Amino acid sequence: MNRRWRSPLRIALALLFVAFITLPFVMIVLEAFGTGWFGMRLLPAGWTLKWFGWAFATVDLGTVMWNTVVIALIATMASIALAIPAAWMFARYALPLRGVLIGLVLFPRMIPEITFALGVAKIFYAFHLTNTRLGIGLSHVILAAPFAVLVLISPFEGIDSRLLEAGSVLGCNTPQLWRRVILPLALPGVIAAALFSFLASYNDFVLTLMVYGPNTVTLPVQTYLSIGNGYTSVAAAISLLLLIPSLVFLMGLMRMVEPEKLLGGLKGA
Amino acid sequence: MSGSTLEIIGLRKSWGRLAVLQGIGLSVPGGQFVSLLGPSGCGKTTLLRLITGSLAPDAGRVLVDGADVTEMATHRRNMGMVFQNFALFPHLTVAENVAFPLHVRKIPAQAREAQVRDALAMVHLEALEARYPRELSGGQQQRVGLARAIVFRPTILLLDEPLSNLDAALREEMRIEISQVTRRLGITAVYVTHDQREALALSDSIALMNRGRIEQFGVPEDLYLRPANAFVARFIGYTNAVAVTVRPGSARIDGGEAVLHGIDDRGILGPGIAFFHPGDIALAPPPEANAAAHDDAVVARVEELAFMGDHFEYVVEDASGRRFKANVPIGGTVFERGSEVSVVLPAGKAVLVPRGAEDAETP
Ligand SMILES: Nc1ncnc2c1ncn2[C@@H]1O[C@H](COP(=O)(O)OP(=O)(O)OP(=O)(O)O)[C@@H](O)[C@H]1O
Ligand SMILES: [Mg+2]
Repeated sequence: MNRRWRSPLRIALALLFVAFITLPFVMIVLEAFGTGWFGMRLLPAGWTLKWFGWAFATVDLGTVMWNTVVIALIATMASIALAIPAAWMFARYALPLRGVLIGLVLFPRMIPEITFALGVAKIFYAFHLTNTRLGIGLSHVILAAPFAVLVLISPFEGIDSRLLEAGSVLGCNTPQLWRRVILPLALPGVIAAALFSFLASYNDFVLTLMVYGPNTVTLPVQTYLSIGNGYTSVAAAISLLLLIPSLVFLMGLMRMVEPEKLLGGLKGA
Repeated sequence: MSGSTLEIIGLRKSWGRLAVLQGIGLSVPGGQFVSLLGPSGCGKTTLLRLITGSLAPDAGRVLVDGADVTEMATHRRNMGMVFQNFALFPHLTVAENVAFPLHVRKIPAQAREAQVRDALAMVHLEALEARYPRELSGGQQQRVGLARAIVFRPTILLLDEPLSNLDAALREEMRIEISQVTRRLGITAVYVTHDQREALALSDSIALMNRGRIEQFGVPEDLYLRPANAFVARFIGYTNAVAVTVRPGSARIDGGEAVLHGIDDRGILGPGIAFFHPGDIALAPPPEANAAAHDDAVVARVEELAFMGDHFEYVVEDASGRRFKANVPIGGTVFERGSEVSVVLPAGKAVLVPRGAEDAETP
């Protein structure tokens, strides 16, 4: 191949790939803001905000968003609280069958979600946990925690044990060691784990569908319900609104770490 | 202010079947600077970790000011430590690193800031307090390590080879720094090193360790002038050794006629080893060319010869393969490589130790 064409070709390939990945999203945006978009038309005939109006008129979107965010925050906090000690154990202690145990932690993410969703739902019905935000948030831990554990193992492994020794000689008891040494050093990892946990809950559909009730409709479930009612443009508008709280949360997390400290944490001693 | 006393009684520690410390006893008066000197792997760091409580001993006790702290949690022992690899917290600035022990002790902000300022001033780092450790040179990092270890006025300061990651010039400078700071504070210090010159220069007393035991504990001059055995003599820097048979007041060099008359026999009778510093050994022309033949000389051949500025460094070897190193001041006769010389071993400068079973092949 001619050298001259290599670089434009690479760029074209990259653009094609990005276009392929984002095409469905572009379609949703067109659907949400367009009118008269039928048949083989390349673009909608006109532009409008009325679908958003309809979305707010037909659905209690405020409550749905609130449900979704609260559930995701509960799931995030619970899964981080579980993942930190679990990941610490996997990272710092010689456990027998370590590989097998880590595999089991990941197990819920390796089988179809619908399979274990059924199991979770059964437990939840038994304890009457469905239709409460706390209950659904806790059910999402099983989705979120495996990622959180996985993400935290290597930052924990990377902490120099001599820093822990220094911390305790200089006067830290165990909680102080966590607060002042371990968590600051692993902060980028903890933030990444929180991010994954939040997204796993926020975007979940299958498991939520099994355990939700009239008071705990989440955005993915509402989108599905709207499609079922035949309002695809309204569903598209809802799914765009679905992005807003999650973007706000992500930006907030990013701002929590100064780049300076992030670097320090990553570089270690 | 005078520092706390430290007493170590019968400390033992094994890793599996490896007995790393085999009954260590040590008594350090308050305010003293003690070095733990010994080769790599002899258990120095392990001993420090038993003192701080980072490790639990298999047997034995650690007492500070007479109180048993063996079972006390590390963070309650109030000891300062300077680490070989610095072990500064990378997520904290210089000032925050130094403030760390004060923060965990919940010292109020005002007092804390004053103490941090004092500690930083003591190691001449005021100007760098806002930097992160990765923005500092090795020497500066170790100063931060020292400031962090003393800022809370610990009972005992432990230093684990604090200079070994620094280059030669910095090492000298930091050594003086450490000496000044510890003496100004009057703190009890335990200093780990494998460099005998550091230990000699810094210490009130030295514990020379070997394979998990203390071979000799004493003031530097003691170890230097009266080493307890061949290991101590060698480790403290005597490079020349000859096997001798000791009689009262004299020692005959084995495998030859030479006799060291008037040697300090230290009460050793029978097999011994006589040690000499390279600077104490003189070279003379060989016996046939030398009218006043030396009774205390060994005939040897010059193997190596290096000009070191203020002296020549000779390596000579005798017929039985015994090697000597001699540092001869410039200005005298120069002996070429391959020429025969008399190696004069001055009895007055010899340091005699008993020759035990473990020294059978040596020297
Ligand atoms: N955690 C451990 N597990 C197993 N063996 C260990 C452990 N820590 C130290 N050892 C062994 O104990 C012995 C003494 O180690 P130590 O670190 O105390 O030596 P040292 O005198 O400080 O040596 P150096 O001058 O090289 O630092 C070594 O043989 C080492 O391999
Ligand atoms: Mg060591």
